[in-house]
Amino acid sequence: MTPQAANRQDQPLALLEPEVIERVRQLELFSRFRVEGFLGGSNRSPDQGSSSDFLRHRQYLPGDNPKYLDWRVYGRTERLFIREQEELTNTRLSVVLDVSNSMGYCDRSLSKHGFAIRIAAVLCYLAFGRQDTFSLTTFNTGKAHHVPFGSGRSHLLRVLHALVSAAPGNGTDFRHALGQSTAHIRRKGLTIVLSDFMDDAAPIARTLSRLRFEGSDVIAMGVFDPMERSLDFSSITRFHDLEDNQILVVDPQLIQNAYQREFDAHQQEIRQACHRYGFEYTALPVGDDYDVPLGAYLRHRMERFT
Amino acid sequence: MHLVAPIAYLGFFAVAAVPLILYLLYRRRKRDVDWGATYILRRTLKREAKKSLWKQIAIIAVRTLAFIALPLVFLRPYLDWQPPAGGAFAAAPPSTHRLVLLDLSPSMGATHGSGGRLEAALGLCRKILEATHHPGRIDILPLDGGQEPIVHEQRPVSDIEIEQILGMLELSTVPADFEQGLRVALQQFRASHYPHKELILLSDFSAADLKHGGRFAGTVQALDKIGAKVFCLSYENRVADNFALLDMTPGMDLLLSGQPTIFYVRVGYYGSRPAAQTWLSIRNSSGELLIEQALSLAPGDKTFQVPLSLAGGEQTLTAALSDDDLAYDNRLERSYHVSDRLQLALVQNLDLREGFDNPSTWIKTAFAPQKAGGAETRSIFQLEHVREQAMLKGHDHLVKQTLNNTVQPEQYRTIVDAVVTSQASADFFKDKDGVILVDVDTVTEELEQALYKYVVRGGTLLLAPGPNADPDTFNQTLRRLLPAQLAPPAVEQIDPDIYQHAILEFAGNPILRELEALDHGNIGNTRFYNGYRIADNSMADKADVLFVLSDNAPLLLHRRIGRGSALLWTAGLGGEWHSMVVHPVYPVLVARLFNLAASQRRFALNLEPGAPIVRKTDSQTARISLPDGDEQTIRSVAVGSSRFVRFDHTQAPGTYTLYPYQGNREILFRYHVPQDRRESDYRPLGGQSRSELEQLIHSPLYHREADLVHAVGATYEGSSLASLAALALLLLLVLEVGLIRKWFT
Repeated sequence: MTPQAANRQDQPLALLEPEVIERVRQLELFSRFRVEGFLGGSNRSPDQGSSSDFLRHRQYLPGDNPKYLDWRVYGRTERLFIREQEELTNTRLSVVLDVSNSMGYCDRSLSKHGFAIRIAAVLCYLAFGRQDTFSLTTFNTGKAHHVPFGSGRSHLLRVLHALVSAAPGNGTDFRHALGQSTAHIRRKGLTIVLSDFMDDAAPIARTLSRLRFEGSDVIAMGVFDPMERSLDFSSITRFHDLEDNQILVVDPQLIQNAYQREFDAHQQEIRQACHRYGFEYTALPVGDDYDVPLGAYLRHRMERFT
Repeated sequence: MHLVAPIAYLGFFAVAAVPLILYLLYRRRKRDVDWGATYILRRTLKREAKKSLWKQIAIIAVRTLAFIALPLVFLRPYLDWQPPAGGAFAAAPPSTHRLVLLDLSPSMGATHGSGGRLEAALGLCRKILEATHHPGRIDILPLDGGQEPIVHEQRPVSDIEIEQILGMLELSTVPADFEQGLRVALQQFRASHYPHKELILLSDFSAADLKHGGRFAGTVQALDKIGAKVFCLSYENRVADNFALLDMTPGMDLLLSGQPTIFYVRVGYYGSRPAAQTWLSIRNSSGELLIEQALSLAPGDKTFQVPLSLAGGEQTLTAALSDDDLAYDNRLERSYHVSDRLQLALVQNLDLREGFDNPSTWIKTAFAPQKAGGAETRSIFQLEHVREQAMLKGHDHLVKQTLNNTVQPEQYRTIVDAVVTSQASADFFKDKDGVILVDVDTVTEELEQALYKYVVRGGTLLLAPGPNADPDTFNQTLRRLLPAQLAPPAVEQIDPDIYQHAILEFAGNPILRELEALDHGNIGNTRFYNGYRIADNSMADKADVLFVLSDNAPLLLHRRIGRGSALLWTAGLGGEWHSMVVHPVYPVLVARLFNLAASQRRFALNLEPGAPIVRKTDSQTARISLPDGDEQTIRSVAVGSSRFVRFDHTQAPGTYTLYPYQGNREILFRYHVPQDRRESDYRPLGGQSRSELEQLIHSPLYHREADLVHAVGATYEGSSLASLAALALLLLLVLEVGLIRKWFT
């Protein structure tokens, strides 16, 4: 991020730098599952439609519309089959953002929070570009702020404004806050949770699993600062907990390896918990080029699922 | 474990304080960080709490060990010395000069436990030689008075070299000389450039050794000063039991064939029992057993009288005792000349006196031949005869020996040829064992010359001036032969009530001492009424007084002249001045005197160490076999009309066999140099002597090899731990770094 951009951090559009927009424009944000949209789009709908995308053949049953009979198959097999076509619709993107104090950790130019709101901005921008509806919900100990679903430029600006105005505060209560923050998501869509997930993996995944059970595609994006993983301190340090102000006095050199293993183990626990409930997890290290890890993840996702 | 120079700890602590001070000066303060991942941190701390504690303890332990190892590197600790396995000797540390003083005296030939002392000592020497692993030097010095040790500087010593060295170590014939050995050891150590010096003394430390060992306290102190450590191993027997044949001398120096003679056999017993028995056997040259009898002895030495009768010629007697712990002193060889008869010349002026007025009558009667079963023929020599008969009665073996050896049984063994002075000549004296000059106060110059020549060549001359002799003339004429100048008689007129007794003045000869015994006549019973006095300060060189009268006037004087001797009897041999002529001791005295003197006419067969072997021969060369088995050729030397061989190197004790005729080994003569028998008394030291010796040498006397090895090894530092500590320090540092890297980075 350039200094000029940092100075404009309180401006909503400052979150979307032109060069970043240029790089992420090609990326696609889609749900792996069928979504329930109102408008046409690029995501598959649970309904059969009239698109050119072939879905399947099924045996003709009395009452079926004869216009969907596949006469070519009949000509070859003298049996009646109905040709079903995909219905494509737009998706509903829900961005759930952790704004607890722990997201305020900053070791370099960007804090985890700054990094996360930029990621959220890019995601909303991508949804905006695909005519999808998107919403933003922030949470800490409970639901902090909510921008309901909407689409269009003005909605994007509203979301960006909400992101800019969101500041880290309070602690984190994943079970309660995540439940509240995702309670409004009732239809199948795509939900992206941005957080550092500094809590037990199982309750978090269990909370998010409700969305998955309702048919939504969920992506958990874990934001962490590389310094938080390396614990690279050379002297005894008093660690002040950003959320409850407790102090831990530790000689980092003594536990550095164990800490790193514990950090990786926690990441792995979250990943496995997410996979267990059928949604994805990706870790995004905080960096100045915040679009890079996001872009890499989305490209990789696109290659996997399309 | 020992630490050298504990004071070095202070320096170590000062050095160790430097990093602490640096740490305290430059230590980093705690920093405060706002942390977003305290959840992970708490999880880590919770999980690592116990594990980390152990890791920290392990790291602290490693660092503590490294802290301990650091001073060990500099303080050079060492482990206590551990005795080597397999009974080996303690290996000396590098640069050690080890000197072994090895007692090779005869007493080391005694058995010690199951083996011999010498074998045990040589076995230990072998171990000492084998225990040479480092550069240094090892000397072995026999305690036989030698100056040069057997030196070996190169290590390790090969097996062949060990065998060569041990092969040179044989029993000596002389007692151990501790004083000389320690002195040589001190010289060797002083000349040695090796810093560590060890003196190992292997001996039986018998009382005899130390009695004659001299004083070596100063040497031991000097050894102490140069830092030499002294260790002693004693090969003593707790219960010593040894018999020794010390000496064997005949009662008469001139042995006559077939004449029973008392041999004085001195036997020693050195043991712990109050009394012990052994067997004595004596064999002659041909190996025939002459006598065998049991002896019972208390500790100490005792002289046994063993009557023997030998055949004529040169006879070698071998006396032997039963086997005991020490073999070298159980056998004794002596050779003797055994003459067929004693020939005396009686020279006097023409004397017309007859019967017992003439002194020659007394002498002739005294030595008159004894007829067989001669009870009917009274002889003044009866006392000797009766004694001989008594000896024969008690010893059956003597009867046979006497009958076998007597050459002329019908004639006794002393022949007296009487001549007047005008008939006497050198040729007449040639074969005589003795010449008696009776009542002669002046002789011709030729006769004096003949007598002098006779005496110088080994003859014995008995001068017995009569009452009518003129002392001045006598002194003037026979001045070259007189033991002392004659002075006028004590009294002019004899008073029968005033008389003196004879007293033996020279008590060194047991043969003469016997004359005072009752069964030998008791010369003290004779009465001397008058006699010539001896001029003041007139005693000649090599002259001494054998008998004196009770008024202290010399009665019989003796003088060595050349190889012979001259005797001066101051009271006359007739009956004018004394009652001895009618006393049984008279012929005994005369016979003993001539026996004593006549033995000197022949070259000695039993020699003192270093005394020459002289033998007349006709050959140009002779061969002599030495005690060690070597043989040498001796060239004979012409002396006048005769040739003689002479061999002077008789220091070594043992038997020297002379073959005077080159090529003819059947004619041989044996000469004996007696062994020193002081070593026979190898009884262990008493408690006080032992403690005195231990104080003197500043070292205890060890009895077991293992004790000696342990004592020697206890002075060593043992295995050095410095290199081990350095290695441990290095490993600990590497381990500490490795653990830090593994656990905490």
